[in-house]
Amino acid sequence: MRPSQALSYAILAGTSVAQGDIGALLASQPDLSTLLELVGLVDGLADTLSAASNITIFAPTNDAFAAVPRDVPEGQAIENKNDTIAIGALLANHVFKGVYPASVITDIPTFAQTLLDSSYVNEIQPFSNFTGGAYNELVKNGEDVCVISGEQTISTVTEAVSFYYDTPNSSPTILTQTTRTSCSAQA
Amino acid sequence: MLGSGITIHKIDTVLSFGAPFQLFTYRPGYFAMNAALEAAQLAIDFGLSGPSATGLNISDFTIFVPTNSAFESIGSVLESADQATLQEVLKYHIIPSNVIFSTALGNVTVKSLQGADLVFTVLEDGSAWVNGAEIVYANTILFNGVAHVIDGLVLFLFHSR
Repeated sequence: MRPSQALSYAILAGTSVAQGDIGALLASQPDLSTLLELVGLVDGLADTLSAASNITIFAPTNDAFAAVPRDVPEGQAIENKNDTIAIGALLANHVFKGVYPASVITDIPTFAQTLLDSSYVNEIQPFSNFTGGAYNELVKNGEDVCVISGEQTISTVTEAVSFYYDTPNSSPTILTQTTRTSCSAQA
Repeated sequence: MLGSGITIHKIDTVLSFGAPFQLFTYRPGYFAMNAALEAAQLAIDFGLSGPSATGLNISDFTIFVPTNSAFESIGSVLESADQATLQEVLKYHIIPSNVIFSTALGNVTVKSLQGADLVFTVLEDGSAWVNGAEIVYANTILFNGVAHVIDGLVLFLFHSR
């Protein structure tokens, strides 16, 4: 293992993060508060995600959301908090159908589909038109997990947070794996 | 319900939506292919259908985009071609209703929008070819399809009878 990587365990004590409660999972991560806020703006989304099985969430950090230019559709979705279709589309593009822990992502790309289907259309534009949802590329570059999306945007997984439960209502054991290098720097 | 062992991957950059085809050709400057599609009235519609929509309203497609220099090398041939011929040539660069990423390519044939088969070849060095053109930049995810940039036009294969 390279020195840039660290594997750490943490027990989340004193908080109630029941299995299947996506809001509580996100709330346990302070650097995901923007995402949590955006999820809350879309009616029913938290419930839909909590009820879902076989999905994987790629969660932009607060810094990631802050860095998006506000003159592109993604930035407008973040900025205009009244356009729940655009926000919903943006978030749906980050929820992948299927279970993708880092261990199944290899240097041979996987093109995985998300929940962003053709139903997301606001007065400006539709956001995707693929049967079964928009695609994004998952690929490993060295030890780093990278996501390549539209416009050749490269995202690096900086931290993978896994929640393990002994029983559905017990406090989870949280396994955190961090990486500090960047996919775009190596690519 | 989200089960035990669920992983949330934190990422440093927000994922982008796929661009419509025209925007994709504009940014890196693949103007020749877009111009040819416009001239042939095969411009890929941005998902907007209706009485005023012209061009090709399709989704889930795979398109091969020759570089500008590929078009330049056969420019005089295309300039003298009529629209019907141009349409046939360009339709041979599109696979309808089939999103094919490079990882799914092997030594296979796939029917094009034109009707004739495209023949894919993957060599031992990893290079991928469609008929005689090499895929030089693969897997750009679009709004409604995937684009692969190729170094030449896909030419029809003539079978001896």
